[in-house]
Amino acid sequence: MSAPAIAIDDLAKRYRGGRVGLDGVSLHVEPGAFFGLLGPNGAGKTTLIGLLTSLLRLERGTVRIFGHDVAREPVAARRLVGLVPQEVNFNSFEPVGEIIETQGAYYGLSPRQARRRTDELCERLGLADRRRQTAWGLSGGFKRRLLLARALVHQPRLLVLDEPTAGVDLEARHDLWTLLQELNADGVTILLTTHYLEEAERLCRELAIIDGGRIIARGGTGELLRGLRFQTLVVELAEPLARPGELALSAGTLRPVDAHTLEVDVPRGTELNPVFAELTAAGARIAGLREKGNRLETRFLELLRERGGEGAA
Amino acid sequence: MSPLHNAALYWYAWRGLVVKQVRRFLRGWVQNLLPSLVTAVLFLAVLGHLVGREIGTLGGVPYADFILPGLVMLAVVTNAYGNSSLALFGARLQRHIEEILVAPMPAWLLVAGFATAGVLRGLLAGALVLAVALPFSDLQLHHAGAVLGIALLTAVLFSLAGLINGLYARSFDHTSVISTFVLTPLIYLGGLFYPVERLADPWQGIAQLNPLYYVIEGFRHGLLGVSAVAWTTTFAVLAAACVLVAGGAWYLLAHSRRLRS
Ligand SMILES: Nc1ncnc2c1ncn2[C@@H]1O[C@H](COP(=O)(O)OP(=O)(O)OP(=O)(O)O)[C@@H](O)[C@H]1O
Ligand SMILES: [Mg+2]
Repeated sequence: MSAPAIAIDDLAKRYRGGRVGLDGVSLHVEPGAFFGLLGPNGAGKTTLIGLLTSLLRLERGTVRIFGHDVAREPVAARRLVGLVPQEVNFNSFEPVGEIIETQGAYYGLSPRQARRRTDELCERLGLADRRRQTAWGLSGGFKRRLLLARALVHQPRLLVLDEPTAGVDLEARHDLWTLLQELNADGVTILLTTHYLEEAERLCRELAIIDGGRIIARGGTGELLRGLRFQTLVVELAEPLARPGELALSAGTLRPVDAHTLEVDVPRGTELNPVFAELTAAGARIAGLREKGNRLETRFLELLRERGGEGAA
Repeated sequence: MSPLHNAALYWYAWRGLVVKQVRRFLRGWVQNLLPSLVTAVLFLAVLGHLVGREIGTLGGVPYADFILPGLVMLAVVTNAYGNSSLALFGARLQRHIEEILVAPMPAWLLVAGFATAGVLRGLLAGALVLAVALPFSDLQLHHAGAVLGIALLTAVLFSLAGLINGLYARSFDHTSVISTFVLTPLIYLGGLFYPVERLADPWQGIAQLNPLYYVIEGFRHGLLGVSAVAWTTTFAVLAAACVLVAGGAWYLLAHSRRLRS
């Protein structure tokens, strides 16, 4: 058995002023995983990544990267990781190419290797035309591409991305997804945080949900979604119902949204034919049907609500 | 990982740090190198040549030659110090210090990289001052090894000290305050313009408590062959101070919450 790509045990972090960043987190991620870390603002995602990548001082707990303890073997551990941070942190006065090459040098690449890797990455990420320009003048989306190029310069085995698609246009986001999937297919382990749940559902095979510095759910993406207890169907009507208020379903609850739209909450796994039969019997002429919203989003909110309930109890 | 592998890694990383910062100070040479040169030229022209004509010789050399060692040291000290303090503070402020914190670099390498860049800027500024002064002087270099050695150790010492300043600075003002209010006055009062031994007591005793007095006098000895302090003494004291400050800088950078909170 090879060592886990990430082995975090009992990790806690308290910032100056007493604010809790992390409150006892353990998390193991296998090599080759595509792992998503989700959670609301202030949950502790960036703190966890900071401890993983040596940006923050380790206080309690251990972090091992492919078996290398970040506190005891920092050099061996750090060279295996590439980080795309949440916020821009390069020197904006430097040219794009120099930023990538210098980072290569920091990871021990010779000037020639660093230049070759920078060529490849600029080409791959559409930065070739902007290579000599200072990073100052890049648009937000290109700044994020630069962050990614910089993170990949030393061909890390673990790529950590903290909200890599914030502020990136749709096309670039799809490009990035493709690139990440290619990297992952080549064996790079990926840990990603995002607030776009669609992105997590699409890319990540495993997820952890973090809130208040603790992991509140963890599992395969499909497994977590199976925990979704309800699904909401949006029913479009060809013509308004005569008395929508009097309509009741035996296998779910129904909400009129407007004259032509109903929402139906049904427990997952319910057979839908009887539901439609009841609707039809009540005179509804169904013109369209879709599932509402993002499934992960629903599950995510459900989990946070459950936890909020626990906290209040 | 073999030690050889690590040696290559550290070499390229160190080189990366140095190249990046040398590029930075060369890109901004107008604000980084020119001021020291202008100051030195003004002192040499006004004091050295105009006032110096009235003074004649001091310690057996023309007055312009007498003040030259102090002017070179002024350039070395303020540039080495300023480069390190500003580079580290700027990297913290703009957060690109994080590029270094995530990289497989021990703290001593970070210190070495920043310090080297400061040393290079200090020595370059000192060399430029010497270069503009020499055409107007007929001084005979007394001891080239001493001149180089003392300039180098001085640059190392103040570059390291500037790094500590850059670690604690909370604003750009904090990176220049020590240089303006402590280092420059200490150099002016440390015998740049006059031989401290000619001061009456208690001023002479007080002046001799100034560490920069020994730096200037030692350098003057190396350059001109005349001085109250032997260059070997200065050399030994500077070397010891470098070791101490290097240890301090390493300890502070390795443990400070200002780099890793
Ligand atoms: N440098 C800091 N000093 C003090 N408190 C901090 C610091 N950084 C983070 N915190 C606190 O730690 C907690 C976790 O923050 P963190 O940045 O890890 O959240 P996050 O999950 O990344 O949030 P977001 O989605 O907004 O990026 C928050 O309560 C935050 O206020
Ligand atoms: Mg964050």
